[in-house]
Amino acid sequence: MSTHLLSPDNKLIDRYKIIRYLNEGGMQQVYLAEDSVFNRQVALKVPKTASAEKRFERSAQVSARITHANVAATFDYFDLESRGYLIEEFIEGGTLSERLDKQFGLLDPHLAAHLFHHLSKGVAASHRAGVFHRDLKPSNIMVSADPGLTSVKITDFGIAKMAEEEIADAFKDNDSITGSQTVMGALPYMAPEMVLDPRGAALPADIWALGAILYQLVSGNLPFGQGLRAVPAIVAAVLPPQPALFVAKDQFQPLTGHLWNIVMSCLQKDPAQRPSADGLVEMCAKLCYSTAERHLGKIDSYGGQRRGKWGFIASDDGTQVFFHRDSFYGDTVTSGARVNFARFPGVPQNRAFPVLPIK
Amino acid sequence: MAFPFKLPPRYVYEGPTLPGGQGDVYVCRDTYLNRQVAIKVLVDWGDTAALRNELTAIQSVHSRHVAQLYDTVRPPRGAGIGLVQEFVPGPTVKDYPRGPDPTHDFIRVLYQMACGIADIHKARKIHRDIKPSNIRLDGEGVVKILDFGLTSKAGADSVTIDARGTMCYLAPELYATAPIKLSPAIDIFSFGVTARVIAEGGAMLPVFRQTPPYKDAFPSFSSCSLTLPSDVVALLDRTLSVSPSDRPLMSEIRDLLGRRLLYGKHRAVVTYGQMHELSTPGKSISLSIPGIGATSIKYDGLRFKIGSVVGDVYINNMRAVVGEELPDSCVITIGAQALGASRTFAPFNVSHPGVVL
Repeated sequence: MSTHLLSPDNKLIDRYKIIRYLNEGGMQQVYLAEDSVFNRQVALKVPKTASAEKRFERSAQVSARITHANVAATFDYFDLESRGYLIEEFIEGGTLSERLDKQFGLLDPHLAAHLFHHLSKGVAASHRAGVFHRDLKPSNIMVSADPGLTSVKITDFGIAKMAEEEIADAFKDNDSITGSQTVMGALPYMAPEMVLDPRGAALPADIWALGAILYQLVSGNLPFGQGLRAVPAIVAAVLPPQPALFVAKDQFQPLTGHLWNIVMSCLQKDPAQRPSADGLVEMCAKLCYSTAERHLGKIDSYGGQRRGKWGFIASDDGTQVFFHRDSFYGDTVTSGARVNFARFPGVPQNRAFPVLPIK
Repeated sequence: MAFPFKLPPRYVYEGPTLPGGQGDVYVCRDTYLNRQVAIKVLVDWGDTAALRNELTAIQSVHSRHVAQLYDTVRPPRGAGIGLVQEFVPGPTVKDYPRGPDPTHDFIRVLYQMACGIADIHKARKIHRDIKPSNIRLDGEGVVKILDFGLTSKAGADSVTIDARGTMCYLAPELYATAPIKLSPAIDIFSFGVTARVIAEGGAMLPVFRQTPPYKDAFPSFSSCSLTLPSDVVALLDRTLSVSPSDRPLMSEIRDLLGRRLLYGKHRAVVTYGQMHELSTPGKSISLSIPGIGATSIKYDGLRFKIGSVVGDVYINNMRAVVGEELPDSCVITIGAQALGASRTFAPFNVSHPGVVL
């Protein structure tokens, strides 16, 4: 736990006023700040150690090369008292990692397809700009606060170049691997070639990471497990089993089958066998999924009627919505459980599809 | 042309200079982030309170189709301001890349313009200078609307004393005597002229050079060299209505074009005994329980509709009516309610490719 470099109400270069500390990665701390010129909220990033300043500036320049709706925009960069500060677009809603921890255990195939499609577009834009992310993981992805995760933005493009050195150093010596926050966070999404030779990896390592993220989204589990135990499985590319819900839930076919093909194509041991980011975008463009508006609610009653295959959701907006067990993307339906769902006109209640249990 | 005032050392003028509506746009390098930026210079902004409102308003538009704002620069003395914006390198929208399906490409470009303008209107702003040279494609081929700074707040008290904007793209009400009531409908008219010009090139402009009252009617989009679907033609023709209230809303244009982009790409899956798929325009699927009821569902390329009904058929518990559209997710029930659990239930789900630009 390191101390915060900035405190609320600090105002930098007479423009950015710190609102609060948000989080930190291995390399940098992130703050929410108010940009007084445009009266907007922004993310302010500062490296933890002043010695990283030169690399931080280079990484800011790298991320500034990418302008795409699925990549957090780089607004500004400045030096102050020998530290660099990066100003980025901020979206309310937090990182995908926080949302998976606090709200979603996993996503239903439709929501996962939407999220993955946007991620692929962002990565394709960066690869076309010649930028290799190196450290794609849910904590480097920002999602909007709405239940449909409408807006998806990848961040920390340049920062990962700084991480590369730390990763390379850590792998020289087993003891420092577990001591490195950067390595431990990146490991579950790291491609085999990255684990074997961090400096030798290239663009296909981002594709592997996307496959690992998609697996986590639809199954709720990391494909190769956590910590050092993941290393042998990653290096051997021992592919994880198909998520049980993919097999169990008819109503989500054929989308589940197509998503599974994407996971498998990304998690190829040989980097040359994986699709390019553009190839992945093409695969995503063929995916059929539902983008109907999402709502939140809780299971109000379930299973009381006759043999009990259906029930009702009390939507947070006060309406009652009918649902059938087959539309539920989870193991067991429990009364009182929170759900995320889309709804369609019906009588006497609207009907929900899909219904995703959340925390 | 050099930059009109001394720039802070962070920015270096590289050129070129592009003419803009209310001020010229200078392509400069941001040496901190080592990237090109477009600095739009507004010379007649002195009042800082009004300026601050304007800047707040501009950034309140959240759209992937509107160029980002980064910074402001001011001359060492005197009025004026430079807005440091995202540099959009691509061609103007007139030169959008045409592929093997020109109608689809045209609708795709128009759809993105409509998304951007609808986002501007949703933030209660009016652009006031929609025209091809203010709309460019970025490196990824995404349409970006530029030249903000001419915008105005939409609302009952929006009036103007000068008809700013660009001839040919000006809505007829802007030629009236001041004060003129401004509404988002002026952007709809400019969008219509822009659509026509990017479809046909500059040859179209003379007819739009008329001033009201118009002697010659604007030609219908049905005479376009592109073969446009009739619903798109009807909507685009309405954008050029003389009366602002006859023009459609930008959100309506966006939604229709968005649906058109997915023509023939929807996929319905019906589970009825086994899984059946319906995804070819013009095709139907039939469900029948002899002696109880039967129905057919037809895909017209945009929507799934009830083709026929015999006996007791319900859609999400509502009696099926021939010609009605099915919800994108529903249960088709064959059999009267009294039959209880022995009715036949067929879940029906529609999905489509995501339009991610």
